[in-house]
Amino acid sequence: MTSNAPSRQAGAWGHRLAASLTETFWGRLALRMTALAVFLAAWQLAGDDSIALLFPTATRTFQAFIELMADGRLPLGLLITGQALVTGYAIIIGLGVPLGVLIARFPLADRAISPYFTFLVAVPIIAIVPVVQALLGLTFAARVTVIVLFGISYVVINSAIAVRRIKPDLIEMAASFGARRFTILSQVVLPAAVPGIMTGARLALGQALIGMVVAELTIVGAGVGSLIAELQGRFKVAAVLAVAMTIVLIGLCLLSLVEMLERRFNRWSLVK
Amino acid sequence: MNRVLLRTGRWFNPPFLLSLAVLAGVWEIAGRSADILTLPPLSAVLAAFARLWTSGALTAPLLDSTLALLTGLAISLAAGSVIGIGMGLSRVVDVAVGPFVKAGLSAPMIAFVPVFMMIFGIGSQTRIATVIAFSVFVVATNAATAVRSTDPALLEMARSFGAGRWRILGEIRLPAGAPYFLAGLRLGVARGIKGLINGEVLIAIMGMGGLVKKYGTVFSMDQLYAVILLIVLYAALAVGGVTLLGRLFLTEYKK
Amino acid sequence: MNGPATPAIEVHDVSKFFVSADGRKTRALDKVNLSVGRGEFVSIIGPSGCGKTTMLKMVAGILGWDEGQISVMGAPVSGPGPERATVFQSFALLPWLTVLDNAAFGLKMRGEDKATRHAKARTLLETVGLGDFANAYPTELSGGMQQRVGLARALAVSPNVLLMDEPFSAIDAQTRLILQTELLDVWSQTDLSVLFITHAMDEAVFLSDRVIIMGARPGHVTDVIDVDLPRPRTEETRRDPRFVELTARVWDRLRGMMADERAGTPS
Repeated sequence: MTSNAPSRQAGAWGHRLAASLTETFWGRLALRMTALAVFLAAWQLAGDDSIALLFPTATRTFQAFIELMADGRLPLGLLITGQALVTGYAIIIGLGVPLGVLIARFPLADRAISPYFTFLVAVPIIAIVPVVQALLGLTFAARVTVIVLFGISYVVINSAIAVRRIKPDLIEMAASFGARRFTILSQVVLPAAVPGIMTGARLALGQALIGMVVAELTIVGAGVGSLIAELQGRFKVAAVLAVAMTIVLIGLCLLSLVEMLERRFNRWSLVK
Repeated sequence: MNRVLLRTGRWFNPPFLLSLAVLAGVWEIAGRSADILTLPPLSAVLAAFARLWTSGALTAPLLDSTLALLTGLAISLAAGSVIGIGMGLSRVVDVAVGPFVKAGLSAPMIAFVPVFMMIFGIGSQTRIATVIAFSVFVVATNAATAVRSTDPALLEMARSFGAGRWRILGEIRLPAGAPYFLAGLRLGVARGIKGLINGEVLIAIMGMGGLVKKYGTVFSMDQLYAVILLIVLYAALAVGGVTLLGRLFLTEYKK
Repeated sequence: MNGPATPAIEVHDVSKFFVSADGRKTRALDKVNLSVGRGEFVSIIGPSGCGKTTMLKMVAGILGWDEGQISVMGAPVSGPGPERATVFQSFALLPWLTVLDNAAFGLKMRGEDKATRHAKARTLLETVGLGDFANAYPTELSGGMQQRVGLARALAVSPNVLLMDEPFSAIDAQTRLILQTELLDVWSQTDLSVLFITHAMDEAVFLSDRVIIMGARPGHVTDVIDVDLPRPRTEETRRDPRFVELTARVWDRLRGMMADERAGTPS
């Protein structure tokens, strides 16, 4: 490979360092923390706190976060916004999974209705928000509808694919022991589809979070949407950034939670 | 996700067209009979679309939006490829920035749009920033996969002929990973369009998204539906176009 | 042939057609006749595409046919039935259930209560040597062990007829030999009639009372070879000159068929 000895030695040394940073838990943690520190330092340097209107430093943003938490406005806003998310997500799962199973089991349903869901995946849903707003007004129901429109197609499509991908052997096996259609569905098809459904649930949560923010910003209610609008009106960039980052971080936590569940279920169905 | 689209997205089949026709019929009848403000008949929407199109009211926003989209995508492609190739080539880079890229891929980046608006102002920069925020991470992820997924046998072959790290990147890894790059581009375009429209609707005065806001706030429903139709067609054409280009390129390439 | 008047499995003049994607009808099986006597062990061997697995699925009642009759234990087949149980090539274990629950799955489908089916399944897991693995999950087991679970699941429903679809073809060669002996051990303690699909000639000869050879395009029975090796069969049997001779005879038939086919088809 390399011909001169010193560089090979240096290469070997660098290789060892790289290995200790990437192949051990603490090494990886240190590396990631360093990356985070570099990012925060760059942010701090890029920020300019001389006027409130400019891009804020990390410290100013953190201060704004503390203030918003202390006076209770951010937790209250998140709580109100969270209600729409929870309701919407429950509808996404409760409606999406049965629809996916229906599409997978009945070719006619597949042909007739699945294009609508691929349509919802392809289209920027925000363009439909004014229609939702016109039909339902500035209401909780309107915000929930937006969240459902953003997320549901991911659950429907992934559930349908998961159900369709089941190995035919498993169904034949159950049939050979005399299992009926409904028993096969509940004992074989649905359990086998759980990992795929979980993948859909994770993707749908990501979209539902976007839908939640869109609903908040367009169909302004009492949640974080009105908080952002108010802070924007008073030109508090740092506070708006703090709210945005809080939403993103909470979103990431929720997503990791669902991903953990997904991984758990994935392990159970590793078919060799 | 887009693989999913291709599998189940059979648009041209009789049951779907029938259900579409029934829906269109119900829409038309409901729009005509029940004099609801929010539901103009389908024919009125199509007429509005034709009127807006011929009057040229859509042309300027369409071009304006496209320019912003292309700018944002170009930046995403460049930055995303650099980050992704770095992740694919170096385990250290991968471990250091991988989690952040993954976070950016799934996090609701749209929450930053109000911040963009305050920093960049009510202008084109804001929506370009939104396009980038929506598309850069998926480009990076796919670029990393593209570089990483090279067949080890090909790498050994190249090494046995004495190829160095950079020659291997140029001669083996990048060409072999082309399908993943293209997938990244396609997803980037799909997400970028969503970012663009999201940004424009929230900024409220620019491009196609601005038209949505404009007609939406004055309850000019036939025009609003016409603009939504335009956006849907635009998104479908752009994503379809990139998919088609990719497929043409790949069939050439596999020969 | 042994056993009373009605055989365990009787297949009479059965034909099946497949309709391909372009709408053409092709004959998959052509007037197949075969029978398995009570307590008899019969193997079907043939090249891929000869319809041997199709044949087994029809006897199992999970696949229909177009002409002819199939009866099991004297009654015509019209679907799956409690007198039959199947062992699958891919094991077909449910990865989210424990080994015990997998072994008890057939009983569950038959409506047995939990205590009964667990007790029965536990006994059969002991029989196949997996008593200590009741609470493991299938993916934690080797292929050979997984197929033992598949066998326990089939035996748990106390069938008269055992249908085995290339059960050992996904298992490594050494384990296969062990499983063959174990299968014969279990079978010799019962009055089970077995229809065994395989593509391994030594396996067919070692296990069976008779070997049915099928040819392809369309699937049909070409030969039946009686295996007169004494039972119980042990590792000694594999070194018996008669075993070698019978295996060679099966190979001759198959090879002749493949040569004919190559001569008969252009390109």
